[in-house]
Amino acid sequence: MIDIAVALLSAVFAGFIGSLVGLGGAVILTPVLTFLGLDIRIAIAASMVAIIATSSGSASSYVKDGLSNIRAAFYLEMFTAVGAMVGAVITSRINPVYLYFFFAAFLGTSFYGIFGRRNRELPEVKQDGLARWLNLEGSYYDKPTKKEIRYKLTRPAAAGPGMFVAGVAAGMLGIGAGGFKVSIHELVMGMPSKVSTATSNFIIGMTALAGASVYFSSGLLYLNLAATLGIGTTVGATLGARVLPRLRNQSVKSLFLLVLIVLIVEMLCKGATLL
Amino acid sequence: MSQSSTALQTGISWILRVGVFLSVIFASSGLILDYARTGSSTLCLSGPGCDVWRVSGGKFFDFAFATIGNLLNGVSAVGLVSLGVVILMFTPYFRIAAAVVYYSVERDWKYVGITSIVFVLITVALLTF
Repeated sequence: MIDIAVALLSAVFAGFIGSLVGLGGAVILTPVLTFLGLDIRIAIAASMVAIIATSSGSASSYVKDGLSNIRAAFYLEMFTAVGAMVGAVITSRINPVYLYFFFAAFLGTSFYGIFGRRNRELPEVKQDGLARWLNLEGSYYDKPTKKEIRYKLTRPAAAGPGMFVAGVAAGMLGIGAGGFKVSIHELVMGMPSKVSTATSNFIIGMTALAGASVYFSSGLLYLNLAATLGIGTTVGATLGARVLPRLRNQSVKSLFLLVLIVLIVEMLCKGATLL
Repeated sequence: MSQSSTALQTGISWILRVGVFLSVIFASSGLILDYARTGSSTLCLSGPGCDVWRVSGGKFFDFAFATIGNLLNGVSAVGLVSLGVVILMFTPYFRIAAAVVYYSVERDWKYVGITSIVFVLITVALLTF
């Protein structure tokens, strides 16, 4: 039995941390809910709906600032949406014990996504033919340096299958898989970090919708839980967006990495006791 | 950046904001109404009486229509929370539709194709599962 205030506060915390590091927050929320005694599949189904709120909320400001690359987002979403449906179907059918281990593995990719790009500069990119055909380029105004940054993207053909895998993970685990997505955007396509985070946020809402529709028919979705979490993550993400400009990038990332390590260990322990 | 692509950005941003705002308003009024009625702050997730909160199968569009139908018959806590969830789920859906319309107006046929594929995929997901 979970108190509504506890669920709400967990969601505010998850939304807050999530928005600071550019992830949906479900990656923190689901493990926290399972520690509170919730069936992991019920936590996943509700989180999948709740992250639509975080994504739509934060994407609205990113899109307005021109940070999201909308073309790249829709191109990549073709792959991710299919993956999300496959993933959600898998979760409604398999033994929940395995989900703890998948979750721990995926937390690892978020860790890599944040840790691996902590000091990256704007990459030099040579566009390939398909990227040029798809017009995958853009520009945004960089506030700290007060410059208009122009960038080009490359290798969309290689990014597609990677995004399918991200979609499967997102659908299976009820998360945005943001850490995994930004790694693909940056390492494969050469996307600048800020654009990558903003584009990943834009994609997450659409992917979550594809996954959530599967959970609708699975009988795992509780509306009261989903709504509480959605409200909480929205509030948390709004607070995060206010606080972010005052924080140092480095301290935010260190905090997140610490949280991730704790969650990975806890998910592994929980899975091991159920085996 | 061209003026029309700024129009797309402003339009999508507006859809997202309004959707999330309405969703939070309806969902929280439903939860508050439920608390006022039952006096219990525990999330009802198992046991008798909790099944009203559970989406017991069925497709999203059926659920959306049923939610609106139920609310027209009378406002209830479950009805308001359901409406909040339905509106929330429609925000990314409308954003895809907005992009299809935008690229059609721009005559950018490649992206009309790509956004239409995404729209069809998500619609199929919402209709089939």
